[in-house]
Amino acid sequence: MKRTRIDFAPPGLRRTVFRAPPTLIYALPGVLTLCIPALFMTQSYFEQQEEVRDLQAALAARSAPAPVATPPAPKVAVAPAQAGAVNAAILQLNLPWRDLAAALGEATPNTIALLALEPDAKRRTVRISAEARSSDEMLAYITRLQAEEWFSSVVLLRHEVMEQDPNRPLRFQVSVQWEAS
Amino acid sequence: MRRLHFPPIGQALRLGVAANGLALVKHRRLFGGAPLALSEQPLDLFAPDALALGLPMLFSDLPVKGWPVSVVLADELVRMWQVPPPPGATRMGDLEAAAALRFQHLFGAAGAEWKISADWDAVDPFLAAAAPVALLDALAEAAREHGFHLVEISPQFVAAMNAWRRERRSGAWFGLVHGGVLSLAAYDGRKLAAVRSAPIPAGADRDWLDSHIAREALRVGIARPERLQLSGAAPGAWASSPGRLKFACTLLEQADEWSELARLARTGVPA
Repeated sequence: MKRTRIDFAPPGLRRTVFRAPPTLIYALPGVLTLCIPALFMTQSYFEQQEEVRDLQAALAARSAPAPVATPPAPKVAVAPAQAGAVNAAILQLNLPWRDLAAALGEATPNTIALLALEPDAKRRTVRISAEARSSDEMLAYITRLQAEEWFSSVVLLRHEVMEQDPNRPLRFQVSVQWEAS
Repeated sequence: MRRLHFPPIGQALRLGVAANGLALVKHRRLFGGAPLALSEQPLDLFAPDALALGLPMLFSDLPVKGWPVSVVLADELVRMWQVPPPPGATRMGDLEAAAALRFQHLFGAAGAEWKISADWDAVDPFLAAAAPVALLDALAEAAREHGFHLVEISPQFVAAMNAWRRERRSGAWFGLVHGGVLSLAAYDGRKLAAVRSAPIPAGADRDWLDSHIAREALRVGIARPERLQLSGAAPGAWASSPGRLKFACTLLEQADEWSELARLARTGVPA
């Protein structure tokens, strides 16, 4: 027959423990015996978990893109003369050829024959060698060069009449300086 | 008088509470062993502060602090009755209301002064019991004062039913003889039909038992049992004898030298 559960005692932990079958204590050694390997298995489980976490962290670190290490630029001792030459070359390369050609193209009429252009990037000047039929055309050309906004100064360096030439052209050289951009 | 020390594992105390006195019994819950009567204290339980004055005298030489104590209430202190569950009961509240209504109908007492506990069952009739709230409060106060743990408070009849539950047979009636009163749990098959108590007249023999069982069966409206199992100090002559078996009567306990109060406290110790 089943137990008749009539009890006026106030509920509590002691009452619950008391109600448990006393024969359960015979199972205590068995439970403790099972607990020992369970303890070791639990410890092993946590160690394996930690190992897995370490492996995952290592794997993540390996699969991630390696940081780009920028090697420090080697310090190369440059001689002053070499540095000057390099700077001069850079200036030469940085010449505003396009603006210079456009300005000269606009200012040069058909009556003027351009013979040579000798730019000097360092001084921002260009020496123009040209021929004209007469001195008036030469002066008109210089005036037109002076009118160009791109040029800051126009200086006639020399001029001479080419006697060997049957047309006797007037050969002259003009130094033009352009404004810094 | 034995002196108790720190409560050993597997041992417990049983406190019997009757209208005429208190008794204390120690028993082992593990490894078997016979229960041991420790002390008794006659008193009038209905006197003011009877428990508050009687328990210190009962525990005078017994440091009960920390011990688990099961209290056995004498059946004259409690009310017991059978409750058929209301049809269609779906909640615990339905069963509690049915038990309270039947308690008021049977005993006419105010529910506020009694605490009801029952072996709740939503399908079959179940046994319910009520104990005075004042008595339960006095026991709880005594537990706080003396430092013991109240792990069980049950009527003697319920304690006896549980103690002998392994020996009880399905369909057999169960009875308890104590203090000249025979308490019976009448079963109709496997279902509890009624709980009834009757005083045992002086010189009651097997014939009286036969006629009493027949009367109770007629009152409840069920067939007479094939077997009656009796616990407590039942007369040995009630046991079944060949040739006159209207029903078999099994005495679960033998008469011994224990007093009524100690026997009350001992009730519920597993056989």
